[in-house]
Amino acid sequence: MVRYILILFLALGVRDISAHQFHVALAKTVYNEKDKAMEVTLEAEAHDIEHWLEDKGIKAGHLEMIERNSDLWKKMSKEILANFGATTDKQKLVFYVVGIEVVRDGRVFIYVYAERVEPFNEITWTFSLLMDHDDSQQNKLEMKWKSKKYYAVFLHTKRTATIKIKDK
Amino acid sequence: MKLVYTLLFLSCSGLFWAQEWDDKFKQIDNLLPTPNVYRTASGAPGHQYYQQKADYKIKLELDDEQQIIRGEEVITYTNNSPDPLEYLWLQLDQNVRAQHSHSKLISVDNMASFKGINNLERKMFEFDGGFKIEWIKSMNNEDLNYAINQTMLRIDPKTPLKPGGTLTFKVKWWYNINDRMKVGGRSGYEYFEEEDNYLYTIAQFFPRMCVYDDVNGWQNKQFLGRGEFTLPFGDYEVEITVPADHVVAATGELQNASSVLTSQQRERLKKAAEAYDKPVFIITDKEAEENEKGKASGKKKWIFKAQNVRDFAFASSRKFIWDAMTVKQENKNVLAMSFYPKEGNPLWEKYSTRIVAHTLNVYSNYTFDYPYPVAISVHSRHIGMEYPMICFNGGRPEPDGTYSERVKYGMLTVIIHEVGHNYFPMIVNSDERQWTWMDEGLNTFLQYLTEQEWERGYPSRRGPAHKITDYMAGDKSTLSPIMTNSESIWQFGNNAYGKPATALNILRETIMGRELFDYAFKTYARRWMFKHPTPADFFRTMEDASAVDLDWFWRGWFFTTDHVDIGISNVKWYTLNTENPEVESEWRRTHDQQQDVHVGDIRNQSDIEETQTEKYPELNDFYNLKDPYAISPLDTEEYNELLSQLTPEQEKLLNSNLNFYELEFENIGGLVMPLILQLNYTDGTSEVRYIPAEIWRFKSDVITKVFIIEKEVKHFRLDPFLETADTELSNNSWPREVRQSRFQLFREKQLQENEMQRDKRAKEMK
Repeated sequence: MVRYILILFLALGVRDISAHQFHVALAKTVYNEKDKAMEVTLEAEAHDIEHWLEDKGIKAGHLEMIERNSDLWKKMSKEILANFGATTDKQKLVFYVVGIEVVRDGRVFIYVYAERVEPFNEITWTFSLLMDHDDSQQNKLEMKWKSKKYYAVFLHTKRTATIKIKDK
Repeated sequence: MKLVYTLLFLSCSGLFWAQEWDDKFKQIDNLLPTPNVYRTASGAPGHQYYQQKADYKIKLELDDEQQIIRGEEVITYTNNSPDPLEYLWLQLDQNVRAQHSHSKLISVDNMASFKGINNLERKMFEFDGGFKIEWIKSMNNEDLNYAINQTMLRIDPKTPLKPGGTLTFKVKWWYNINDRMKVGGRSGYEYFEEEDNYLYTIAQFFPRMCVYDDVNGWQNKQFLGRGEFTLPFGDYEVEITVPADHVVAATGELQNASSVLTSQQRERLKKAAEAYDKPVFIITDKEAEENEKGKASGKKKWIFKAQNVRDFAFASSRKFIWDAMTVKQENKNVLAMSFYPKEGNPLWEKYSTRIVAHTLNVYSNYTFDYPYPVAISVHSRHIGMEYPMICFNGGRPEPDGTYSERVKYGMLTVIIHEVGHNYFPMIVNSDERQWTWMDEGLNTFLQYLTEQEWERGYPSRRGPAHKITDYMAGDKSTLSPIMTNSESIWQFGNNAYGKPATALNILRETIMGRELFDYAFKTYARRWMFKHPTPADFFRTMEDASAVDLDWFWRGWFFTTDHVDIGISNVKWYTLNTENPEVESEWRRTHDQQQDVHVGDIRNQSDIEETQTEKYPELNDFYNLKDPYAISPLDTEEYNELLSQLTPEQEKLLNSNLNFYELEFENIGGLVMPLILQLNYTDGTSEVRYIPAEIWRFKSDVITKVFIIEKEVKHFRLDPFLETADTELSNNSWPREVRQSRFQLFREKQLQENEMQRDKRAKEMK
């Protein structure tokens, strides 16, 4: 039996419980062949993200109030990108958050972008957004490659998924 | 639309069977229980339908110092079933927070769940919130035998409780109230550190009888945390002792207002009973703020009575502002009320009671008149939870009194939803432990209708068909059919709230139509008001009251995880061959001229200076010299002969210039749905044609349908009003349309000038 050392992330935030029934985040990704870019729209409940950030010691308040490129924006982006990423058989994708949009029904859309993405045969996605806040969180990813769509599901016990391109 | 064919023969094509026939329209009798004397095939209660009754007299004390509930109850249980009962089962829901609760043990972990100190703290958090049963006695104070199995408690009477008999017994208990902000939960307390005050929202606080019925026997499936409550109706008398400066809101009517309210408060309540337009304050914000500053040393007993309810809940705090107004129902008045701390304002004083009143009006319109005397909304940070006549709702502005739009709509939405639960499941009393969708789904559907009547363009989250598509599309490995037990549902909210609400909305808007649907839905609500319906009762009533065979719809939407993805995979355009040589010759000439030309032919026109047949004309024969578009006298004579054989109607038809479009539809997602086809014509006009879902009954993967139209179609579009929950819109158009992703739309918006840039440019123009 191998013994591992558990290193904990030491952020002391206010623990908060939200008794709604969503617990789902969605990623819609499109490979833009022309620009060689991966364009991603993450969708979640705005208050889920807020509570999750709060849980990590980031007092984000209301997401729509966060100024772009502010320290808070950078902290939020760092947390989001620590829980969303991809590696292809050619490279590790470098994502950055390009925008946030909160809509009236309570959803937040987080726009994420990676450039200089070479065409690939295989891609492994990590999508663990909100999972350390709630074990029942499930995330779902849709990837559009040319005209074809691929899907993957993520659970707190399965935070990565590999998609193999079939129509190369 | 590139293909244009000339229709030479009109013939009847027979229907054919696919080799492997997947019958989407097979009746669902094999999936439902057999009708019987308790529940009929029409979906109504049968002539021997019965239900049990449980009446409670409860004396309760809320310990504000230690956050403990102590209670004593007398339960009178009436056995209306035809069966003798050897034992009785009660629910001990607080045991879900007991130290050895199974709920903690059944969560699946891996080390990724232990990344942060908070995760670790949460996983290791210990709280003993289970019931402490002190004793259970008969009315002559003899101890009764009982056994506890997790969240269930069995009482063994000395002799079986006979049909028609009653058993009265007493229980004494206590438990530690949970801090909702730390432990979570549907009930508990919130602590306001700044002024050292508590706001209690208390429910599942007493041992409650389980349901015994013709479906499950005893419904004693353990409470694991998700599948909510299954409870019999009964009458309640509850005495709640709280600190003297607390204000209590509860299920039922207050019996001792003169003991617990001031004369001014009682006077204001009288005014509220005549206030139909806007709420009246019973306790103002200033009075509440004054009240929360101190702590009274004495106690007060608040007494409530409630009849024919399935449960009882209450809220207590010295922080409460209280307002009320009256809602007029057909035969009675209902007092809509709100209780909230100053932290809820300004949102709560402006909206809470108004939206309670609005909810009662809309729900009653689609079901039955609200039968209870009061409907109460209590402010409770973050959660939304429902009980008879009272519910606990979130929606808290910022400390500076501002709030975002989504906090406002979030609050309105949760109040509509939780007040709406009075109808489902508090009155139409379905088995929540078994079927979450029967209350959450039906309630979310009516919630959507209520939201839309509150404000045009209300940002409803669930209801419209297109809002469920992301959930239904794609990988099915973590999806469950709606007909899944409450504890085993993947994606709880989408499955049990969103999808059934969407399904009902589709039935109402697209499959059945509003009139038929509303009649059937109201029939179901009225048939099962104050009774215990099952899914089969709902499915059967909706068909029985509408004469619409919905088995295909229940099968696909409720028993599978299939999704809707119907595309137009091919379009062929035919026109009639008029046989008139002049018309047809001209048509051929035009058609030939429009054909694409091969690149070699284009180049050869210039590169080949002279062909052999051009150089030596004698090489041309009949075929070279023939004008393919020429009309011979024989052609004309044959046409005239044909005309002489036709009736005037047939001749008219032949010259009608009709267009025949053969469309091929492919069902990729599996769910069959009606085809709603928009035809956009070349003259700029358009029309929509509706083909019922039964078009798929013999073949459910690919079908063709011919549309006979006078005008020429420029563009076909399937599901133009987004009413079928089609998950893939890119294959709905012919010719195909390119759709932008949300990311692309966002980026385009980003590239446009912002308002300040525009303002600057405007100033520069001056």
